[in-house]
Amino acid sequence: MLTVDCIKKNFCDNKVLQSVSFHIPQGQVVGLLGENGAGKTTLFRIICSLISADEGNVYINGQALEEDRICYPSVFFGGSSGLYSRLSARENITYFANLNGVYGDVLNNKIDYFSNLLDMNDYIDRKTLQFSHGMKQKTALVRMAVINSPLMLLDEPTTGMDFPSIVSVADFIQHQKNESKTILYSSHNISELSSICQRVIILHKGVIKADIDLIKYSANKDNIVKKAYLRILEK
Amino acid sequence: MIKSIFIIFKKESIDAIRDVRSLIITFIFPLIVFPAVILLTGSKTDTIYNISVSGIDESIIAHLQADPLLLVSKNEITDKNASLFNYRIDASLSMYNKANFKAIEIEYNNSYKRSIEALEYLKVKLTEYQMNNILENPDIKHTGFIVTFMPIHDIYEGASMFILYTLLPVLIIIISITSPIAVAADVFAGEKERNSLELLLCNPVSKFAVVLGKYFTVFLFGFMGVLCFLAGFFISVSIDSTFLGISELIITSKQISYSLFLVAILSFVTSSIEVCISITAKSVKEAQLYILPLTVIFSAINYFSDKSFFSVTDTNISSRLDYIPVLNIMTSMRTVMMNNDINNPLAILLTNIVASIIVLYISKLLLNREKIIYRS
Repeated sequence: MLTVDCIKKNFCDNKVLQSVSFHIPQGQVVGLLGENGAGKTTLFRIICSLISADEGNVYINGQALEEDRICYPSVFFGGSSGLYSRLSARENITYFANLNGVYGDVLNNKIDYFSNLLDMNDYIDRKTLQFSHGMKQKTALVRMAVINSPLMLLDEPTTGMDFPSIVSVADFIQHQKNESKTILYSSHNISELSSICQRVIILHKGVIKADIDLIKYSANKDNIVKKAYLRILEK
Repeated sequence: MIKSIFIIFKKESIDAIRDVRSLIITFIFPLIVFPAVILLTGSKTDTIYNISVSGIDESIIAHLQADPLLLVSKNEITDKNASLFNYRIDASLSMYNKANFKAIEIEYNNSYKRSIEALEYLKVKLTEYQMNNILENPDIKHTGFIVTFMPIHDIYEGASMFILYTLLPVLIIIISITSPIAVAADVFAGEKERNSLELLLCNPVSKFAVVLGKYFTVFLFGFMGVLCFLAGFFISVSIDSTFLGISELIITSKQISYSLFLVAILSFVTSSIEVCISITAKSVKEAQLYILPLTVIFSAINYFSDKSFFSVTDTNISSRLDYIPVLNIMTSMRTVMMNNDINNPLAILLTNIVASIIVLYISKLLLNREKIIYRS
């Protein structure tokens, strides 16, 4: 589904990504772990074609980004939910859905379904101006979910969320997993990644240091990831 | 692509309509600017009008002197024009005997509000005198006279011309740039502030469609702003036209339609430039800071568009100016007001549309640059 092939990216003298390669098959949920500045967000932006790689290429369904694309990933950038404060949550979701060709009853049913799932019914028709951080994050998640793209990119979606909201997000990811969506999910929370993802890639200073297949392990998944991560950081 | 443009246009329009600041800047301010000027400066003066008379029948003078609002001086003014010009008198009446009728000529200062009021008042008083005369002497056939008016300034030099041909185009330029400023700054620089621009660009929508969708919103608000301003201007004229230096403003439907055409084209160009600036700015404030100097630049172009500035007498060179975008709009604004006509409207339309498309294409290219998208 998603192939990242020898991606290199420099910002002036700063080598942000150094020959990053991995492949995610259809329906797999992959976690991306790394400290701040490891290059996670840059990698997300390259996959979305927002910035270009200095070298290497990204393939979605075997199709390079430069070609006329059929599949566009749905994206969530955690730094800010990117909502329009004068529009309601429903209007924000509808706007992006319409741009992706999703309209009418199909869209409304999806919005209702996801607002139930994430417990958003109380504020789905309210303007997002006075939303809390968690409410905004949930709205942004629904915005990406209704698009129905087979590839989802989530960059630190639970940052700043309270515990019930994190549980809702976990339910949401589980739902998307059941729908055979391919998901690349970045987070600083190891136990969150271990519980949600089937595989965790550890990115350190622009280089992939570990690619851990968690399906092989039935228990203590977060300990395994934690040990591997600490070992990399100590080096 | 058209569907995407419409979706973006619709969203941006709803977003802008819900912003009180945008509504005030776009609609309220342009609408009230002229009526406010009238209310602040245009209240009718209640002072006594100084009138000079020469060669007028004593009965008419007596009728005028009986009015407490008129201070009539007989044959004391040597240079009437200088006195009117220096505001020593408000109007001057002279009577002439023609072949078979009498004529009273009222001279007045057509750049001085009080003088125009005096003219209007004298017209009423003289009509009143004639009516009284007819009622008192119903059998006399030729008791009347005709009244003519003579402004001291040439019609193109009076206050009316200054406002209509110099001030009004400048104000239209300023309003067409400032009225959509909140919307223009928000469409791209605001997206950067909200971190929503990168999300928008991740969608299966071409960058040119994004630029056009937002551009049409800015254009709509800019055009509506100028329409509100013109509506405010005509409301002011209908309340009190004396601020224009004329007793009534006569504008033909042809002038109105040509003016609307030019205003739409002007908004078309200014909106494209504002969108381009908004893309390069890192914040709403910075975008507004960069857009505001456009008013000075365009006003300067308006000043230079007066062909007399170039001392252009050669009609070939003069007609070539019609093919320079923006400059040809400014030139045509004057032509419409003065000659009730427009030179080469097709050239104006095409040159400015091409200029706008070039600016919008540059905007689209700017959206491909990482440094522009992430400049926040």
